Amino acid sequence: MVSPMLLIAMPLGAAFLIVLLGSKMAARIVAIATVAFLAVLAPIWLSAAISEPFVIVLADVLPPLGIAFGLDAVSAGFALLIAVSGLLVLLYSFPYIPHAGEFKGKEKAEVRYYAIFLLLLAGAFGLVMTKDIFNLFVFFEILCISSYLLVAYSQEERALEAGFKYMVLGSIGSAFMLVAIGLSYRLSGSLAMADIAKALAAAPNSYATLVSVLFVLGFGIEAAVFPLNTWLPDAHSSAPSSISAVLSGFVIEVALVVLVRLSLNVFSGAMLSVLAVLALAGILVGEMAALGQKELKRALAFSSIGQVSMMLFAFTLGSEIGKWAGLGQLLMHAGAKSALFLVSGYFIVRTGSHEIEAYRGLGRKMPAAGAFFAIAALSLVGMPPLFGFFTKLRIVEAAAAAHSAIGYAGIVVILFATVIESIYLFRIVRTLYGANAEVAASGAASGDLPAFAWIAVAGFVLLVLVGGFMIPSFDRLLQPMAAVLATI
Amino acid sequence: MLTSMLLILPLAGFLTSLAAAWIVPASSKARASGAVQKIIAGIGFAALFVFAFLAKSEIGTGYLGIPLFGLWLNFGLTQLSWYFVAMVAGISLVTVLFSLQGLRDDGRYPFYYIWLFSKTFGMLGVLLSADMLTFFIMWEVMSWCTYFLLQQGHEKAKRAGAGYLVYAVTAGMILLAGLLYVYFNVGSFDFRTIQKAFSGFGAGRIIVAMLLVLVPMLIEAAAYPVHWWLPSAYANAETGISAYLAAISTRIGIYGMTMFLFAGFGLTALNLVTANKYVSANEVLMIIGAFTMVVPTFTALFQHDAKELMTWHSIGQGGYMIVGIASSTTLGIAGGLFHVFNHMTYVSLILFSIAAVEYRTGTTNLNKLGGLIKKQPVAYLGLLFGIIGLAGIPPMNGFVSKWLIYRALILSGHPFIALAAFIATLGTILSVYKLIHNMFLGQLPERYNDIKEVGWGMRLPIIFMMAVVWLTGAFPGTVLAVVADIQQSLGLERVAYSVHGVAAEMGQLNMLVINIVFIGGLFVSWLIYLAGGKRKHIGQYDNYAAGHFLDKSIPYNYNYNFYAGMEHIFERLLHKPPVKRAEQALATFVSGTSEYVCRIFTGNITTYSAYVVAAVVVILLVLGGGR
Amino acid sequence: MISVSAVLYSTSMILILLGLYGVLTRKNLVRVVISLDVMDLGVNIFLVTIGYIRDGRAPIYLSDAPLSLVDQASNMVDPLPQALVLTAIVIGFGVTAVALTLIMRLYERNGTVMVSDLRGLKW
Repeated sequence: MVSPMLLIAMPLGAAFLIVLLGSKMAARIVAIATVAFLAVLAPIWLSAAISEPFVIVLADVLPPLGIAFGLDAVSAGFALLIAVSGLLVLLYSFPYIPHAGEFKGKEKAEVRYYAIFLLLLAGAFGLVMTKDIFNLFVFFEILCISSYLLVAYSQEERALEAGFKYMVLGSIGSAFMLVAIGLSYRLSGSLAMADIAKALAAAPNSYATLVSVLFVLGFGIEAAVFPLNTWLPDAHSSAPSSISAVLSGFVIEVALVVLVRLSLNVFSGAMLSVLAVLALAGILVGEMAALGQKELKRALAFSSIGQVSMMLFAFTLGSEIGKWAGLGQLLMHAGAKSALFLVSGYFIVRTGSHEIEAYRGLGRKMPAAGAFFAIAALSLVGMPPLFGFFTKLRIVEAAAAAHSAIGYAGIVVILFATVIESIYLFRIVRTLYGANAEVAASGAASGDLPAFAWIAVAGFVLLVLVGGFMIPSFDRLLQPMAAVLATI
Repeated sequence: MLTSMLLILPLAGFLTSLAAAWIVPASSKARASGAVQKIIAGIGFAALFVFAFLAKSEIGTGYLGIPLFGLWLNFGLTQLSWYFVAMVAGISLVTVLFSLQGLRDDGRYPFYYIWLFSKTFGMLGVLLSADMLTFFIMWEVMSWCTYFLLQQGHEKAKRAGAGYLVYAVTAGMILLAGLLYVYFNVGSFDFRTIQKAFSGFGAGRIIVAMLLVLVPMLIEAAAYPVHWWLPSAYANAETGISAYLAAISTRIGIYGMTMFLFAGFGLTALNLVTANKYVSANEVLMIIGAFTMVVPTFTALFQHDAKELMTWHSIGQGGYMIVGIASSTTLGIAGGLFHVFNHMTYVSLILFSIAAVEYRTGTTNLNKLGGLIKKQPVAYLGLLFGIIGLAGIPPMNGFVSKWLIYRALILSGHPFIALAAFIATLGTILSVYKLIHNMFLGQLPERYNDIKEVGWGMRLPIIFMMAVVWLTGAFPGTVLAVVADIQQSLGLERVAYSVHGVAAEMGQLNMLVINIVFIGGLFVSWLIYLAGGKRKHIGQYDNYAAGHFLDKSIPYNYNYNFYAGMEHIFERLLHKPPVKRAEQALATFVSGTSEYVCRIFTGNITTYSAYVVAAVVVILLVLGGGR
Repeated sequence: MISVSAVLYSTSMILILLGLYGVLTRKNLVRVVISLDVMDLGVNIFLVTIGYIRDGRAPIYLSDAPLSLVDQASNMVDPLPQALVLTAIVIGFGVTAVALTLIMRLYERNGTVMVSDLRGLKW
């Protein structure tokens, strides 16, 4: 079998190749070929990794000295999610990216867009595969820096501002992480996560707590843990919509899962209860703030905060079913939120406005876009038989099964959040189908989604549409993932 | 097998009509699209009706487990659910038949039948659910489909539908909490297991479970004070949909209430709670029911739109059902359940008549109509029969069920609830008088001189429903037989009925005698009328009022602002009813909170960095201090 | 007597706190970035200090050295933190470059580099 290192090596190589080739057409072809190749291989790796995790040895140096990578059920599952999402978003980018922003040297910039996009994918792949805490930091930085650049891609004022804010918070986070890495290396003399876990368990409590808090909060900035997620609404709403979809669809989730895995296995157990409380606060803040938004993408970004916190809450329950439920919600959210962001990208292109009110009646002008948006929103709120209903059901079930105060509090918060979600998401859907003579008469919306964008959005929508029916097959993947999540 | 057809048929209808709408879109070919939709709907709902009656043979036997979504969905027919299934199938068929002509093919409601199918599917799913998880899933499907059904039509309907969504999702979430509560106390979703387990539980657990489960049912049944979503939502829907929704959709809440009270938690559990000497569970429900009867009925009095007036009555009539069923006496339950059927028949009859008028005049505004009796006699008769049923006056069917409920209330020692029921009936009579007067009696406005009666496609359903309202009034035993079976299946005493009414041991009521007296009375008065001789037909302006002769420029203005005087008295309450004020306060509170929460995101990078530092410090302190 | 590593540890902590303070108080975007760099510097010094050994030798085995391989190893400084620091410096450089580019573009658009003017996105 081909080495899973391709997951990191191929996008990295392709990114440099794209810059060397320098032509837009070549960039598109190289990018899509790379990601498509990985998306085809990912299921093979996944089925292999479920039965027997890979340990990858680089340059013949064994851990703990070498750079340790591994492909187990979790990382292979995420590799599949990242590759498929990445492929669909790349498809969407072909027609969309020329619309993103007006600035000098746009042609050249588009080439770089694909290169940086591949870097982002490489960072995400690396993040889930690494077994070594410093590599984790390196891939974290690759992911972050490429995100800063992609967020600011359009070079509009709001994009630059969002990118800068993201960057400042990301840098603070990485400084905290580095200190935590240094402290744990000083303690354990190793960078392998397994060694650090052992050393921290034996260390004095205050030392372990300091390391845990610094690392979890540093990394939590990327994982959008409240209150470290203040950059998120700005960045996700100002980025080009393809990037918003990627950031909301899997980037925060990848960071979240890595964070949860580290908290479960490496760091002090107290972090889990801290994260549970932060998660509940995040749900409330995210959903309540989304309710007050006038811009579509900003509302979606706040909804992402709520949704991600919901997953985090499920993970922190500590039970197998909790992790299982969290992973299910993650998968559903990747489909639904990506679709919502991708569709809203074309709403913005067609009307030139970010405001929800500007889209009044657009659903009739763009029937496919409107229908996709409505279905994805329905799944997010949880209408049976769409995927979202069952994932949310499982989360509250897991919370009830925990028989703990935080579990019961979580149920109340999630049920309340669902009501709020239904209010703001369907206010948007209603606006889309509202009567508006102006939009109907003017050529403001000239046409529905272009073919490539249509395919990409349809792919994501298909997931939430049939996800509910495919739960038994998804469970065959999610269950081993949930089990592996509790190990390094 | 037949039971499964009840789910497959509406689902297949939904998918077929959806595909048809895609192939023949209403936006380009409104006429063709409408015709295709109607053919599919006609065939689908007719088949559904047949299967609903065939499925009666499978009551209690045909359990159906479907492995889907990694769960088992369990369906089965009980006596109680069959009664509601038959009503759903019947009224949806009549609604569709009425809509064949009543709904113009102008492409304004391209998804009408699609959502009608899906809504029917959701309701049948709820009714057929054999366990609580299936019940919840189908409940959610049903709520969402109601929302989509309400989203058809104009802006006002959409806004009203938005209000419904908030109530419905809230109800769903409370139900979900109840589902989890029951599951983790019992360890099973199955209704029979739940009933067994609950008979052994203490009052505390039963009360929590009942609150969590009954509140959503009361929201769906639009009981006071959670009724506010209903009037504008139903009144602004297309009139056929209003009839369908008011007739049966709301009553799924009544089904759920009955089912959870008597089949879900079981009578033993209920009695345990009822044993409390200060306040008993069923009395709380009856008080809610009493408020539901009185307040909405009197609100109906002051409506100026025929449909809105009727939707308020639809809420009020739900109160009778709640009171009857919650009284948990044989007569009361029989009356409550029978009233569901009666209400369905006369409310759809009234709304069909209103729709017939709206079809010709284009309005349902009571201030603008009048004198249509000669123009639309069938609609007039339909409305007349309907309001006699609504007001609970013999010989129509509404009288029988109300008689049962009154009698149950008085016999079970609830005189004040009975008084409330009488007061509500008074309000009903006052307001239906306004309805029929302002639409059909009085002076005909000039602009309606050329109005014609609607076609047979709409006339026949009206005439059919008139017959049903009258015949089930004359022979209530036909329906009471089913009700008695339900009572037996729930382990209650059977109501003693005869074909013509209620048997002697439960208080003699013979509708046949009443009918003969009634018709005899009519005949006698007709004879007197004939014998009176001297009659003269005069034009509507050959009249005077307040010393003025009337002509076209001064029609009498009795129609306008009917009950203006009374409205003045109740002005303060009507202008801002306490329930509405509470609802608004809650909405303001939520949006205000949301505004404050948004302020967390100041946009200032310095603040954001400070959050991070503060979080690190606070968590370090908490974790350090905790040891 | 204060050990070298103690001095270095405290220096690094002071630099990190100083950098944080800068990020929290500076009104000029360029100064915010400089503060981030100060913080980075502190972190890097911290990492190097972890590998510090008094009188240590470079972590390179020499075949012609007078000492045996075991003796050489006994007094070597830990090479790993140094490798980490090199990586961290590169990353820090990258981030600074990105940050300054963003500031440049912002200045082109807005004509200002004040934090208080960077509040288009809020609430």
